[in-house]
Amino acid sequence: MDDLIKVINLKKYFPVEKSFLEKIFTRVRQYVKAIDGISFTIKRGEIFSLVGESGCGKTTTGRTILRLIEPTEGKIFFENIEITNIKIKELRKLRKRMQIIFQDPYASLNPRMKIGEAVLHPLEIHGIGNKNERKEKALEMLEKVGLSPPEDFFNLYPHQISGGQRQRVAIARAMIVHPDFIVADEPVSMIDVSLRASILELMMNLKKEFNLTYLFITHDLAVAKYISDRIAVMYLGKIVEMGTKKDVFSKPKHPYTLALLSSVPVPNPMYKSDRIILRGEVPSPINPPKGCRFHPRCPYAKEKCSKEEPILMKTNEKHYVACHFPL
Amino acid sequence: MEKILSIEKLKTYYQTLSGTIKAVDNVTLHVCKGEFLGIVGESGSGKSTLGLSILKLVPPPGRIIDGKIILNGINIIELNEKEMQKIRGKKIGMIFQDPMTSLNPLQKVGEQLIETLIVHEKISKKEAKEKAESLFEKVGIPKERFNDYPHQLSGGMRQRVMIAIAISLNPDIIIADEPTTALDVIVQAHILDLLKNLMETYNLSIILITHDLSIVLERCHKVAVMYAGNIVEYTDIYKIYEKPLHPYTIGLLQSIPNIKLDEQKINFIPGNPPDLINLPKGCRFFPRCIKRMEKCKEINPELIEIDKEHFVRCFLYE
Repeated sequence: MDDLIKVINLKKYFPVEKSFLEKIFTRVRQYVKAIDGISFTIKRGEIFSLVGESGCGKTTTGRTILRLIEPTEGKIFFENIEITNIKIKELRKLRKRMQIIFQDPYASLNPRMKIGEAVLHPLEIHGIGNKNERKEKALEMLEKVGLSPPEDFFNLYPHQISGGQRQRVAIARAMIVHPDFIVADEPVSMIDVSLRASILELMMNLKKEFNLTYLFITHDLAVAKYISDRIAVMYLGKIVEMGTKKDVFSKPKHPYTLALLSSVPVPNPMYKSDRIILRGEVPSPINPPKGCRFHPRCPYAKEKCSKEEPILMKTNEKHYVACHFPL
Repeated sequence: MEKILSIEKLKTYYQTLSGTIKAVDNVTLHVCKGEFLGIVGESGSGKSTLGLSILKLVPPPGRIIDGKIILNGINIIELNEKEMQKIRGKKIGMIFQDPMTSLNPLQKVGEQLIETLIVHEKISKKEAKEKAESLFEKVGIPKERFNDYPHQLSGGMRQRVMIAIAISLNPDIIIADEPTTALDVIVQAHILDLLKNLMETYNLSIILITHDLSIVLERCHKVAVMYAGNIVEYTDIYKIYEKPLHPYTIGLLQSIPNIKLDEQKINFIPGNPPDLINLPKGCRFFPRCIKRMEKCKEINPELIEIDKEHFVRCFLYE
């Protein structure tokens, strides 16, 4: 399989807003280091998940890859084309091939736009087809995402349909330009539990039919385990562990991954939890701890961990970990 | 076990311009001393309205139409607002999803707790401060956080402040409405551990309202599954896990991924939850049920005890 997405040493720093007085008295600019040097590749046809707690940088990563946010440093490749610095005009051509689905279908759809119009809108932007052809395509896509009969849904407004149906509309809108790559940012987090599997199933079916590649961003590890091929675990702007689903979930090497996995509730009253209690809280991404970012909370931390920052290293063919003393 | 709270045939409706929303309809359940009850349901199932009804805090146009809420032998539905104020906090503590909206953003968190203690317990400021400090310690908030404002604390710490306030007046019951939904999974585990410890230390009863069946199966003693304003199944967590009876419960159990399983197929329940204004005439789950019968279309079954302490609202088991 060839690489569809390649990210090298990607960084995104957001400047911290200061008040007027602070600007006068301090010269030091502070930055939130949302992503601080991450590298990974996503192969064509793969579902690659980014997991981690809020503030770890997973959403920023997804948006930076699509250049919805401009990177501070590093390189992004899409099919061997470096897109880090290409002009917006050329980027727009490529955007047809990379789309995004957001978490909140209530916020991502224009409440005053009919569903059908929202779905065909990307075709207008990219100048594809004439008016009739666009409508035809939109109806076809609505049917494909399970909103049938499509003629009925075409003229409805977002508030007239359920949350699950709304997320289907968002998926149809992303799919209508036949992209190769989709960033799905928490696509099922706001969907009712009894319907989540139906959205995941739809995404899998579309993947098969259109040979899609997904970057799946989620805080829900059970969902990540269910859907992904490979997983990267992020902590404070860094990837701490990356590997196949099997490697990461059954043989976690990083103490953070282990703690994270052990905190997920298991829907079985007979299951005896082996939970690992972490001390403290996630530190601020403005001044991340020196050395390993996880060392102040790590139950296995040694002296080296507070001095040297570990780099992401191979432990076996597909399994990477950033830890001086992997488990 | 001693029953602390019994709810009998409770009905809480919202009268809106477009019709009556039957958010809680004929709900019957009870909580014993030291019991951890989970109320599980999806959005619009009426679980939050049920929690607010127990505190008599249902916002207008919502109103308790009928039924009884018996707390330590007293039907609190008959109490007036002034009498209720003595129940809230003192007998029933509460924790909500978003502590940022329940805490005063302009007041130091320690002072908010001191204020609660002074108002309710009629003690001196010095005593209140000592008590507040010991409460903070009990819920795991470091001393130096006492003078912080809510925005300076993390979500998990804010929720700990809420828990400290909720237990400060030694209530018998705590109602926790989605207390960990806004929190990350590690913090969630900490908060749930804390609740469990407090429950065991003080012999508290806790009603946990959540959409997450995994948490309930992992932590609670009993569970009530709600669907469209009704309780459809009500029993202990072992029975619901090993022998779920209601088709909705079965569907829900099959739709949650389990991180401990390697090969798993998760399913979904086709269709959407009903509109609470235009409820189906018969069983509310009828349009989505795979085991529906002719009868279910016309009549909504009653919640009946079909096995010891196992209640279900379904004609399949009559």
